[in-house]
Amino acid sequence: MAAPGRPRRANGQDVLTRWLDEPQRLAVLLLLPTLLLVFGVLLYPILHTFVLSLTDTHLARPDSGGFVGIDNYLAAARDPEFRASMGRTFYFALLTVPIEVFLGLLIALLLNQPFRGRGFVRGLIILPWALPYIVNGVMWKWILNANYGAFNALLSQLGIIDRYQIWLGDPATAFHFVIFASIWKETPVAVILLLAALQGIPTELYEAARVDGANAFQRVWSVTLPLLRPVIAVTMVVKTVWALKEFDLIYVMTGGGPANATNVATFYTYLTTFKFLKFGYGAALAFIIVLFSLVIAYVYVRLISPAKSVGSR
Amino acid sequence: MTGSKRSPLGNVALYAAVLLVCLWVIAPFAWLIVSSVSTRAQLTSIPLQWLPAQPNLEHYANIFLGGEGATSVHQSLRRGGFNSLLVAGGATLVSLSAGALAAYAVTRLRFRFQGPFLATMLVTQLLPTVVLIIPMYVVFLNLRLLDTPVALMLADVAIILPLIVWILKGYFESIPEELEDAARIDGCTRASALVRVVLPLSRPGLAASGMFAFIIAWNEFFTAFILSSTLDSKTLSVIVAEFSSKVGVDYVAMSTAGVLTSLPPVLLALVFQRYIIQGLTAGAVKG
Amino acid sequence: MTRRLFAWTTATLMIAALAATAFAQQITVIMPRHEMDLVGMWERQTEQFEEETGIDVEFIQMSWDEVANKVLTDLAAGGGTYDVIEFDNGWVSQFAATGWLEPLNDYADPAYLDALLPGLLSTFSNDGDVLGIPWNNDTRFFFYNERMLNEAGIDTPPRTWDEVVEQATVLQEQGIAESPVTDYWNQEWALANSFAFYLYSFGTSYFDDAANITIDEPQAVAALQFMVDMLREHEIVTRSAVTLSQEAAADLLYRGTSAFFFQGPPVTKNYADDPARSQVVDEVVAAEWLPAVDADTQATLTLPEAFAIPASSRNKDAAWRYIEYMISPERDRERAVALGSLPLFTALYTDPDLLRQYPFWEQFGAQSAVARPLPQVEWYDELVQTTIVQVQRALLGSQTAQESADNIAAFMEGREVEGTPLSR
Repeated sequence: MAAPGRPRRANGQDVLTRWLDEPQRLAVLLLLPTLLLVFGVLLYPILHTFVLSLTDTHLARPDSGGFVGIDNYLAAARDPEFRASMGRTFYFALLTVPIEVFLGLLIALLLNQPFRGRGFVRGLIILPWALPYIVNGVMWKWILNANYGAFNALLSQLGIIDRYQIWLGDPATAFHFVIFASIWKETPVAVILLLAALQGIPTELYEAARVDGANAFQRVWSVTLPLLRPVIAVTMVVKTVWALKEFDLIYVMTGGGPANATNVATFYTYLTTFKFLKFGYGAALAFIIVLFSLVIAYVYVRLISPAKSVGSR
Repeated sequence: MTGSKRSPLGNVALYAAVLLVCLWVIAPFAWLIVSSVSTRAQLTSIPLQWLPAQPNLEHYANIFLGGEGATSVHQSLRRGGFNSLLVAGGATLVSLSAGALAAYAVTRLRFRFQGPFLATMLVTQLLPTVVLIIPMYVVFLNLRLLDTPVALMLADVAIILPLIVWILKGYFESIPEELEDAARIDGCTRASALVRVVLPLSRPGLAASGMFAFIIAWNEFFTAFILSSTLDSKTLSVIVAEFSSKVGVDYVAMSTAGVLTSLPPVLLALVFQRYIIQGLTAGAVKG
Repeated sequence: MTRRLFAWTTATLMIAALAATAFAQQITVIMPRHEMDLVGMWERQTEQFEEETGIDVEFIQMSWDEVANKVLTDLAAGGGTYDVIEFDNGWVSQFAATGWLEPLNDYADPAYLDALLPGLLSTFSNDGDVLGIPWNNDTRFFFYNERMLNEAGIDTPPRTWDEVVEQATVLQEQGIAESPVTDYWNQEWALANSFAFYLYSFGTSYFDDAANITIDEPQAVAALQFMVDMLREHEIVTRSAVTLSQEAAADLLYRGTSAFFFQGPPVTKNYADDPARSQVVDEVVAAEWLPAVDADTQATLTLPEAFAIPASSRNKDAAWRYIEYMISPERDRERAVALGSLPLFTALYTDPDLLRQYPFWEQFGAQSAVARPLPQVEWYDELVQTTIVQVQRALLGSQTAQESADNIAAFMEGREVEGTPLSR
C-alpha cells in the first residue's frame, strides 16, 4: 500500500489514493471500460443471438418471435442449402489454408536470404494484407471481367486463349478464382508470421548442419521445418478460423453465384437473416458456424500450450 | 544459409524469384491504379490498351476539387471518406484507451478472473462476424441507432478490442516492473505510475496497436454494410461495394474509388510496416 | 408587480409561440430518386406544395436500396418516423399481411382513383383496400436497333420467338451484330424479372389462379428451355449474359454489340440517343409489340412504385394532401414534359402535346396494354433466390430445364398464396 516515508497529504486524498491502490479494486476499475465494452458489444450480443435462435422471429411479421426450442437447429441440419453452403465453406478453407501456408513458407524462406533491397521487399509484402477486403474483391472482379478484363487481355495477347473467357460465369472457375483472390490477399500474413519465426532460429544450427555435409534442401528439411512446426500449426489453425468467416470477397465478386457455386455458409446466413428477414433461423445458422469455429479454437488452445517453448519474443 | 557464397546462377535464380514475388504482390493493385487514370474507351478496347497515353485525372479532380463534372458519385466518395475517418478514428481511440487499461490490469495486477477473461478475449476473435451483427442490428434497430457512425464504431470496437488487449499485454509484459516500483517509492500511485512510466515506454506498442486498429476498422465491410443504409454513415468500403454493382459499367470511377479507399491503409502499412508486423506476430503467436 | 406581470406575459407568449410551431404541420416523405429525374423535379414540386399549403415537408430522397432498407427497418421497429413512404410493387403481399399501412379508400375520391391507370392501381390494392397511389410507372419495353435491321434487310421487328431466332441469326451471319440479343442473367434479383417476362410470353407463370403450381409444366419449361437455347444452341445471346447486370446488358445495346433488348426500362431510349453514353444515337426505337410464343401471349413487365401512408403516421391528413397534390394530372403532366417519365393517368396517353414531344409513347402505350406485374406472394424474396439459382444452373448447362423447373416447384409446394397452399 502506501510506501513508508511518503509525506502525508490531505486526509481525503490519502484515503482515495490508498483506496485506488488496492490491486483488486484498481484492477476492476481499469478493466471496467473494457468489460463494459466487451460485455455490451460482444457477450450480450452472443447471448442475444442464442436466444433469438430459439425463436421463430421474422422481421416482417410483427406477431412472430415465439419460442420454438431447437426447431431452427433441427431445420438447419436438414436444410440441403445450408449443408451445401457448409460444404463449400470447408472446401474453401481446405484449399486456401494449406496453399497460403505453403506459399508463405516459400516466400519467407526467400526473404530470409540476404540480398540487396531485402528490407524494401519485406515491407512491400504487406500490401495485399492492407488492402481493404472489398477493394480486393472489386479489383479481381475487374481483372477477371468477361468482356474487358486484364486477365483475358493478357492471355489473349500472349496467344494462350483465342476467345475471352467468362471466368466468373462458370461455377467451377468462379469458385477457384475467388479462392485465388483470397490466397493473394492472405498469404502475406503467413509470410510475416513464418519470417518472424525463421529469424528466431540461431544460425549456428545451420552452420552445424552444413559442416555435417547437408545441402540447402536438407538444411531446410532437418533444421528449419521441425523448429517451425509449432508456428506453422498455429498459423494454419488461425487461418482456418478466418477462412470460415469469409464474406466480403464473395459478396462483391460473385454475390454467391454463379448458380450458387460460391454461396458459402456466412453468405447463406446473411441472405437468410437480412434478405429473407428470418432472424430466428439465421441466428441458429450463425451459431452453428460458431460451433465449428469453437472446435477449431479448442484445437488452437491445445496447440499453443506446448508451443510456448519456441519463444518468438 | 548465410555466410556461404552463392553461385552466380544461384544469384540470378534468387533475384528472379524475388522479382516474381514483387510482381505478384504489386501487379494487381498497379493495374487498378492504371485503370483509375485511364479512359473508359481505353479500358473497353479489344485488344486492351495497357497504358494510357495521358493520365485521365478527371475523377480524382472531381472528388477532391468538386467542379463541373462532379456528380453524386464523387460527393458520396467524399462523404464516405469522412465517415470512414470518423468511424475508424473513433474506434481506434476507444479501443486503445480501454485496451491499454485492461492490458495494464492483466499484466500488473493479479485478479481472480484473469484466466477466464483472457480466454473470452481469445474466443471472441474466432467468432464469425455474422453472429455478432445480428443481435447488434436488432438492438440498434430498437434504439433507433441504425445508420449512425456510433453504431459502426461500436461494432468495430467489438472486433478490435480483444486484439488490442492481447497486443498491449505483450508490450506491457516486456516493461520491467522495477521501473514502476521505483516510481512508486518516489511517491506515485499505481495509477500515476501507469501514466508516467508505463505508457511512455510502451509508445511503440501503442503506435503498433493503434495503427493495426485503424487499418482493421477502415477495411471493415460486413458490419458497416449491415448497420448503415445512407450516406449518413456509409463508409468507403460500403460505397465501393455499391459501385461495383450499381455504377456497373463505369470501370474508371470504380477503380478510382478502389484506389482512394485503399490508399490510407496501404500507405500506413507501408510506412509503419515494422509496427504492423509486430502487431501481427504479437497477436497470433505470442502466448 | 409589473415586473412579474411582464415575466408571466413573456412566458405565456413564448409558450404560445412554441405551441404554434408545434402545431404547424410537418410531414416526412421518403422516396427513391427517379432515375430520369436529373433536374430535381420532385423536389421542386414538393416546394410548390409547401408554398401552396403551408405544410412543411422533410423530403428524403436516396437510392432505391437505401430507401427500402430505411422503410423496412423503421416499420419493423414500430414506425412513426415517416408519413409518406415508398411502397414497391414487390411488398404488397407482405405489407398487407402486417397491417403496417393505412388503407386509403376513405381518403381518396372515387373519380380520382378512376383516372389513374387501372393496372397500376390494382397492383397496389389488396382485398379491396387501396394501399398505395402509384408514383412511378416503370413498365419495361422492347427496344431494338432499327438501323441494324434495315441493313440486314429485315422489315419489321420479330413477333414470335421463332422470328427472333431467325432475325438474330441473319444479323450475326452478316456481321451486323455480334450478339444480337442482350439480357441480364447475373445471379441477382433482376434475373427473376427477366425469367418472369419469358414465362409470361409463353402464356404461363409460376402458378395459376387456382393455386396450382405451373412452373414444372411443359409451357414453363419451354420458356426456360428457350432461354437456354438462345444462349447455348443458337448462341444469339452474349455469352457473358450470366454475369451481366441490367446496366451492363443495356450497355451492350448502346455499344452496338446487340440489336434486341426485350425488357428495357423507359429511359433506355433517352440513353441510347445520348452521345455521351451511346454509339448508336438515333438508331434505337421502341417496338409496337413484344415477341412471344404467339401474338396473344404478348406480355411485358411493369414494376411500378407507389406512395403509402404508414398506419403509425401521426399526420395522415397532411400526408394524404401531399400524395393527392403530387399525384395529380397537372403535376404528372409537368413531369412528363420535363423528364419524359411515363404518365400515371390514363388521359395523358392521348394528350396531343405529349405525343408530339414523345412520339414513341404510342409504342409504349401499345406495349403497356399487355403489362403485367410480378407474382404477388409474401415469400417472393425467397422465391427469387431459389429461382435465380435454378435458372442459372440451367443456363450454365449443369442441369436440364426440367430439373430446374422441378426444383422451383418443389420449393413452392405447400407455400401459401392468399391463404391457399400451392399444390402440384
